[in-house]
Amino acid sequence: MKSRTRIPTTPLLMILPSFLLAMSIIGYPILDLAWTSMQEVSRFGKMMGFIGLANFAEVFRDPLFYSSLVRTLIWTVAVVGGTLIMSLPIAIMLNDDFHGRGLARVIVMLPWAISLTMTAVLWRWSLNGRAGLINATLMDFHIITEPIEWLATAPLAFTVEILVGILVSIPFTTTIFLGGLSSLPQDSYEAAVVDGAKPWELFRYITLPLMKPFINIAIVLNVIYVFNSLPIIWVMTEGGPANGTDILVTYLYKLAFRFGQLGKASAISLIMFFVLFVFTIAYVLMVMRQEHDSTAEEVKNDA
Amino acid sequence: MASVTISGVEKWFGTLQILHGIDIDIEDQEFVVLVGPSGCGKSTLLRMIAGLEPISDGEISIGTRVINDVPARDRDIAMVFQNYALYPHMSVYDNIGFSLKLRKRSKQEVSEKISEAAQILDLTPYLERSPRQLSGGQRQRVAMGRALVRDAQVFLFDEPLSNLDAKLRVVMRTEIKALHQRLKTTSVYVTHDQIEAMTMADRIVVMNKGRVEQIGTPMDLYDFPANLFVADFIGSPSMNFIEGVVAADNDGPFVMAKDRTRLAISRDSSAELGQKVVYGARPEHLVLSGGSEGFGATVEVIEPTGPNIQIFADVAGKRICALSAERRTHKPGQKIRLHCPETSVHLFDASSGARI
Amino acid sequence: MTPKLKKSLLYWLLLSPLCVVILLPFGVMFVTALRPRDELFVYPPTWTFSEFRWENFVEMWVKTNFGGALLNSLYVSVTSTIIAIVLSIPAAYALSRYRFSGKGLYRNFLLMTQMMSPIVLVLGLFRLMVHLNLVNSLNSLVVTYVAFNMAFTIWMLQSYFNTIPRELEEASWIDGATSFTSLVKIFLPLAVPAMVVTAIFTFINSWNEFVLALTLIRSQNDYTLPVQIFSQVAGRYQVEWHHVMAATVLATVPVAIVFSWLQRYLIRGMALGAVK
Ligand SMILES: Nc1ncnc2c1ncn2[C@@H]1O[C@H](COP(=O)(O)OP(=O)(O)OP(=O)(O)O)[C@@H](O)[C@H]1O
Ligand SMILES: [Mg+2]
Repeated sequence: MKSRTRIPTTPLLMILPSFLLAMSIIGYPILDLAWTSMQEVSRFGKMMGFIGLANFAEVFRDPLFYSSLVRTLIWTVAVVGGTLIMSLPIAIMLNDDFHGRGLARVIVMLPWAISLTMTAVLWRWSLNGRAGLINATLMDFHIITEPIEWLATAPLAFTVEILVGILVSIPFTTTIFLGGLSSLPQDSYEAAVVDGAKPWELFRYITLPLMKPFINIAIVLNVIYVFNSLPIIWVMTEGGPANGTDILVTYLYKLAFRFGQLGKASAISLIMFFVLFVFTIAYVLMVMRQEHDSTAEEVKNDA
Repeated sequence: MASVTISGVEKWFGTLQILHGIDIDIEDQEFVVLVGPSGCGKSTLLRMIAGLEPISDGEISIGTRVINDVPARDRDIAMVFQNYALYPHMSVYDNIGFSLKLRKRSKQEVSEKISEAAQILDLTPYLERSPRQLSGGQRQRVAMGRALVRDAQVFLFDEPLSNLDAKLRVVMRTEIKALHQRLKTTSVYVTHDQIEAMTMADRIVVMNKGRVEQIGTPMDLYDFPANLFVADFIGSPSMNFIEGVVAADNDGPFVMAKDRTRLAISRDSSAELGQKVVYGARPEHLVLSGGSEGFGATVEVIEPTGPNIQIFADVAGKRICALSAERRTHKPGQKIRLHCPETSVHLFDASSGARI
Repeated sequence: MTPKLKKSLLYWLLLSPLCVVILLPFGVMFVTALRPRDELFVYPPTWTFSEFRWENFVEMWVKTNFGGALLNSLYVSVTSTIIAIVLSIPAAYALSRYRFSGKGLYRNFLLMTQMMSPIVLVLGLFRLMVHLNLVNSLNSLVVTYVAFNMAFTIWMLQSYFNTIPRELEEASWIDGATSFTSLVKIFLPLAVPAMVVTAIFTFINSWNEFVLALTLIRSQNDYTLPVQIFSQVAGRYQVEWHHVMAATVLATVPVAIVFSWLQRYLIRGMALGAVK
């Protein structure tokens, strides 16, 4: 490459402002957390000196950390799994032409428009043991005879929270799948139909393989979002009763802003950061493999 | 108006070389067509003349001015894009007048120029429409109009007709040529359609894989293709090729094909005895011979096209094509004799592909 | 019955449980917001109630400082949306139009920021805002929302920019436009719809954000709507549920309507960007 009329600094200047802001708002806290996690910190946020990995050691001795960790795994796997199982058939239906499809799309997407906080507040009230209208409805239909205290015991409360988690994750996932479905080549279907494929075979041999990249991406993004999701559990039970519905994020939040254990909270933040980081790398590699064909030329130019 | 000189031009995309030292001299008022297979670098070269693509090495000048470092807007060129690139949010009137407005011409001059261009291109009834409301052919004309009002030194066209249907393409081809004869603006026209090239060009530049294969008038290229690539590319249906070795006997020199078929060549040919060559004959030069003249062939497929009948026949294990205006019907499997006048035979060196 | 009608019935049958579960809490919201206070805790609970109490909304507005929270939410969402769009346009344009070294790297960097959720960083962010003396200021929310939304806005804008043919700008350069004129006269007018859609989604994101608002804002006067409503519910023995639900109606219904109208653009964006 010899001469260039386009100065390569122009695009760099254009991305600079967004880069600097992201660096300082997202990059700096990571460094700060790393620093804090190795300090002894007083209740009032004062640094009392370097203590190496003692905070981490304390985290790993804490039984509540382990129970939150296990619950985080259950929470993430259950919500993401449930969401995916629900979303693919929903997306396939919503992608097909039927009477009232516009309305169905709007209803399915609705939870996305409402903040998780509001949704959780609504559910907390609807599930109220004494006055909640969920109980009223179930009793009207004679499904139950006595009101149920949905949120009073940890296992039941956690189950309910998982179901709400699935409900609010469906719109995003369905949107990814709809995007994917609308980009599938129509002629493969026509060819398969001509070859005599039945609807189930179409799904099994055409839709599923072609949708695989979208499913992968939906898995990774959902894992990240769900793993990090605070509002539902925080609003509905605040991790209670008796820490029985705590996951890592709620436990972290309590440690940091309720009990003032900043060193330990930083250590947990970093551990979570590490987990996320691994997932992000997995995601980036996946996207890159997918883009590899389409942008092979570009990458060459970037070199 | 001005000449365009391209000398030693190279293009690199990163480490990938797309153009390898291109030299073309385009004279003032000339209509030059760049033609070649897809991906050979025609568009890239045109975009370098336009200033849309940096020049990696070499020099391009318009008139006497080297324009390597001149931005597109100051090169005084006009360009018609393959997809027309009409501004979708502007009316036809504003599309055509955009360049004049940018040059701060008076309102009256702008409107005069636009109506003049609209007149020439039959666009007057459509001036208030938006590009969305036009047919493909009309859009194409708007794109032409945009170039027309500019009084630019050079017109550049990048496959401007490739989005039109076959009939309209022929019509527009003639219109563009007529327009050039009237305005005489130096034009560089890119196409991969050799018929377009033959019919429109003053001179044709045949490109292949980032190199110039031959430059010449349409008839030059047709009659004296410099190498196998040009011979194959120019002409439709394309030239027949049969490999063989040069030999001679009492009747004069000939090319001996694989199965000892005797293909006569001119006594003046500079081919050497024993040289491996490719014998080339255009379908329209192959005639059915009544007597013992020419070489034997077996008819395989017959395709009537209307004015002619295309006879596909096997010669020395190769399928060749001959054009016959006679209405005589041949049957597949039938043995015939074909003859090509020695002066119409093209000979190429088998290893270099160069014309002998 | 036509095949399409049959299919429609089948699909609605399959979708109806989900639709019921989605719509149920909204029903609860409306009937609670409109019922008299002393009918909140009747036993057994019922959907019906004696009269429509529209005054609940007025009472709630006065008692809970709803207006203040509304203004705070508006300020934060509008400001952060504008800043995010203004910063994202050049970046998206660069990604869409230029080849430059570091492009792939920057894309991946954006992806990473997208992955970093506020909750993991919230402690560090809190300490950053303490350093910057921004705790308790709505501007702390503005800068963090901009930063956390930027990956999304840049990605959305870029995928729309990619659909605007580059040839249009090239044609305008040849017509004699400078890069700047070309941007203002050709590119931006064509990009307006994309910018509006992206802005509205960013607005909704900021409007709904909870964790950062809960952490960085400590004084009641600066609460945004989600935090304000949460504060009515959390850690209280006596929750005025009819007020909470009235506030939720006001905070969610307008956003839900706008979102319903725009969701197809989001799907189109996904298809365009194909999750790039
Ligand atoms: N931005 C780019 N980066 C890398 N390679 C490129 C780029 N633009 C073009 N090329 C390559 O340069 C070569 C020439 O491209 P060009 O568009 O000039 O071909 P063309 O002769 O106009 O073909 P067509 O008839 O198909 O339009 C192609 O092999 C193409 O892949
Ligand atoms: Mg081209």
